[in-house]
Order: sequence, then structure tokens, then C-alpha cells
Amino acid sequence: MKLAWMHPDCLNTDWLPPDSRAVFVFDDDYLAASGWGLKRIMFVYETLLELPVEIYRGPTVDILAQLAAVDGIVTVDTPDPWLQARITELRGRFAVDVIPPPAFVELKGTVNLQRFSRYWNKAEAKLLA
Amino acid sequence: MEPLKKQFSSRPELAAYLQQQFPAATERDPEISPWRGGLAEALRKLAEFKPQRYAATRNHLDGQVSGLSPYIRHGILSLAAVKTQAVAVAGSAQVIAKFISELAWRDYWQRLYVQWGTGVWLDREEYKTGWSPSDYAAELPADIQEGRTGLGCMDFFSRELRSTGYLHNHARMWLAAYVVHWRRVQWQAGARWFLVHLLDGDAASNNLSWQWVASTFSHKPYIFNRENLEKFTSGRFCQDCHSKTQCPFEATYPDLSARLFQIGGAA
Ligand SMILES: Cc1cc2nc3c(=O)[nH]c(=O)nc-3n(C[C@H](O)[C@H](O)[C@H](O)COP(=O)(O)OP(=O)(O)OC[C@H]3O[C@@H](n4cnc5c(N)ncnc54)[C@H](O)[C@@H]3O)c2cc1C
Repeated sequence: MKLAWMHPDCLNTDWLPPDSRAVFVFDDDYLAASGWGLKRIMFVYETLLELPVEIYRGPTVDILAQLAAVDGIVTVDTPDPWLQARITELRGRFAVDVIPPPAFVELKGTVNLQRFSRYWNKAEAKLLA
Repeated sequence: MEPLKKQFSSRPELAAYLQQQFPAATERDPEISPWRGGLAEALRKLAEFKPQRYAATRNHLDGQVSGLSPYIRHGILSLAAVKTQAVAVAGSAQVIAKFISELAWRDYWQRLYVQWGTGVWLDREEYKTGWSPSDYAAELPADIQEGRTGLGCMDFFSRELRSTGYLHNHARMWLAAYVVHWRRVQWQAGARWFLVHLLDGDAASNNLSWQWVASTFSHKPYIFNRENLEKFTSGRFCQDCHSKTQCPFEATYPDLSARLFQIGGAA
């Protein structure tokens, strides 16, 4: 069974494979880097209480390394540089599958992001179809 | 290695447990929001939301907005799922184009975050205010954080942010414009403050919105005046405001631009 690492950008077990063991880690380094206080932790914790997920606290990679089974780790992709750095560290030690989150709109080719209007010109027709 | 506890008999019991588990975070922000986490609560809000009324009312503080941002930000609901449900309620995507375009703002900021990473903390462009970055204070003044500027609107928004972790989009714009343009504080200081408190806070949507207000990621600085704020709040903050006879927002846009910037041209 794979270890499914749920992080703060994917608090939804439906985004992860059903036959996996879901784990969330509260990491002081992330909390400090992201500026989180009690309000946010409470919100996230309440969300986790509804889910079949084990909650740990400590350095993310150390905790996941202790739990990781031979089948490796699966997680959801994120633009967050702190989380990306952890994914890179994990990749050095385990087989890691990074699955994309549900797409809002699929845009082919390079998308000009210089201003919202450029992006919208490309996305509008698909989104309003 | 023991997992953390998952059985609690009440919210206060959970809050007390988390306070004890996370002392450093509690020091940054000791408040608990009345907003509840969880998919069940997200779905309840989604079911209540009337997307057909969004375009006409969204700019008013009492307007029809979804209140889904914390759930979307944490991937409890995807943008795609919210859009699908809203289209099902409204009958077509065309009739809720405004709502879909606001959802798209998040997708747009997330795409930029993939490109820029921690670069979302850097000024993406020059300020178009005539001021240079060093003209802006590096720290957020305490009176703003503590909600004692004497301005009824801003003090309310500051308290609301701290106690609930949510502000209406228009309130975020007014408060950010006040911080950056009236108090001449670097947008980064305001952005850091928001990220401590917002339940939906993420460095892409938050920082890039601050940059949009500041003009470091837009063609001109965003400002507002008293008439605009009164209109979209039904005057509720102005009636009993201690500063109502010396309101810093009471002026025309050309006058405010002349007062706040070294060049004209904001609107
Ligand atoms: C200074 C400033 C800081 C902000 N910081 C954040 C932040 O940290 N996180 C965040 O999610 N939004 C941020 N916003 C954008 C916006 O204010 C909130 O997304 C919106 O107010 C959330 O309320 P709602 O869910 O009722 O939105 P609705 O109007 O109902 O919109 C539905 C959803 O679309 C998305 N959305 C709508 N407008 C925007 C927008 N302008 N930018 C990005 N996404 C949008 C959100 O996911 C929102 O939940 C900020 C705006 C400003 C001006």
C-alpha cells in the first residue's frame, strides 16, 4: 500500500488513490514559513477530523520516511515552493508519484500570463462553453 | 511515533488541545474563527450560494459572494467542482460569466506561482505612484494591526480579519490601498499580516493581489474614496466614525491622486 501524503494544498482524500494510507504532517518549519497561527491550524485540523487520515507533527520528510512502505509515496502537485522542496527531498529516497490536482481549464501551448486579460482571452471560450 | 488525537467532544476542547500542541503558532495568532473547516461545511456553503445574483451584488459587503475561498485554497473543493455546481444551479455558464471569471483569477495566480515561486514576494514591476520602493515603510504600523487608527471602516476590517480570518474582497482592496497608499507601507508588510490571519491565505492570491493594489503588478495604483466605500457598505462605518469630519478618503479621485502620488493618473 502506498503512503498518501496529504498536504495543506490538498485536504481531500478523493484526489488521492483509494488504496493508500493517508497521512498529514504539521511541520513547525512550514507553519513558521507560512505564518500560520491557531486560526488556520484549527480550520485545517477540523477538516482533517472528517477524513480517514492520520495526523502527525514533526519534520515532514523524517515523519514520512518513518512511515513510508516499500510501495512508495503518492501526493498531489502544488506550486508552493516549500512543499515542492519536500517533494524533491522525498524523491531522493523513495519512489514518489506526484499527481495533478483537478484541472480548472486545460490550455494548450504556452499561456501568456503577463496580465489576467491575456490568460482570460485564451481561457474564456473554454470556460463559458 | 504517536499520531495526534482525533477524538474531541467539542470545539473548545479541540482549540485547547491545539493551543497546547502549537505554542509558537498560538503566539503568532491566538484566535479561533467561527468559520468551520471540513467538506461538509464547504458543501453547505456551496448549496446556499446563488451564483445568478453574484454579478450584480458582489461588490457590496452584503452582496451574494460564495465564502468558499478557504475551502478552495486548501483543496477541500476544487475550482472545477465549484464551477460545475454553479453552472448546474444557474442553467448555463454564460449567465454566471462573472463568477467564473473570478474563479479564473485564482487559477491565473496559481499558474504564476508555478513560474515565480518565492518570486511572488518581489516587486514584479516598478511602483507607478512616482515613489520608489525605499519611500515605503518596511513595517506595518501597530495602530493598523491593532485596529486603532480612529477610522471606523479600517478598524473594523482589522478586527474582522483577526477574529474571523475572512474579509470581503472589497474590504481587502480598501484596507490594502489604505496601508500602501495612505500610510505608504511596503505591500510586503501588509501581505505578511494578511497571511497570518486569512483562512484562505496563500502567497500567490494574496501577494499578487497586494501587488495589483500597490501597482507593482498592474498599470496603475488602486485607490478608492469615501463615496465609493459608503456606497458599498451602505454607510454603516461612516455614521458613527470618530474621523468623519476629517476623513482621509473624502475627496475626488484627481485630488486623492495629487495628494497621494508624485504623479497624477490613478483612478
Ligand atoms: C489584498 C488582497 C488579498 C487577497 N488575498 C487572498 C488570499 O490570500 N487567498 C484568496 O483565495 N484570495 C485572496 N484575495 C482575493 C479575494 O479577495 C478572495 O478570494 C475573495 O474575497 C474570497 O471570498 P469568496 O470566497 O466569497 O469569493 P467569491 O467572490 O465568491 O469567489 C469565488 C472564489 O473565486 C476565487 N476568487 C475570487 N476572486 C478572486 C481574486 N480576486 N483573486 C483570487 N481568487 C479569487 C476564490 O477562490 C473564491 O473563493 C485577495 C484580494 C485582495 C484585494
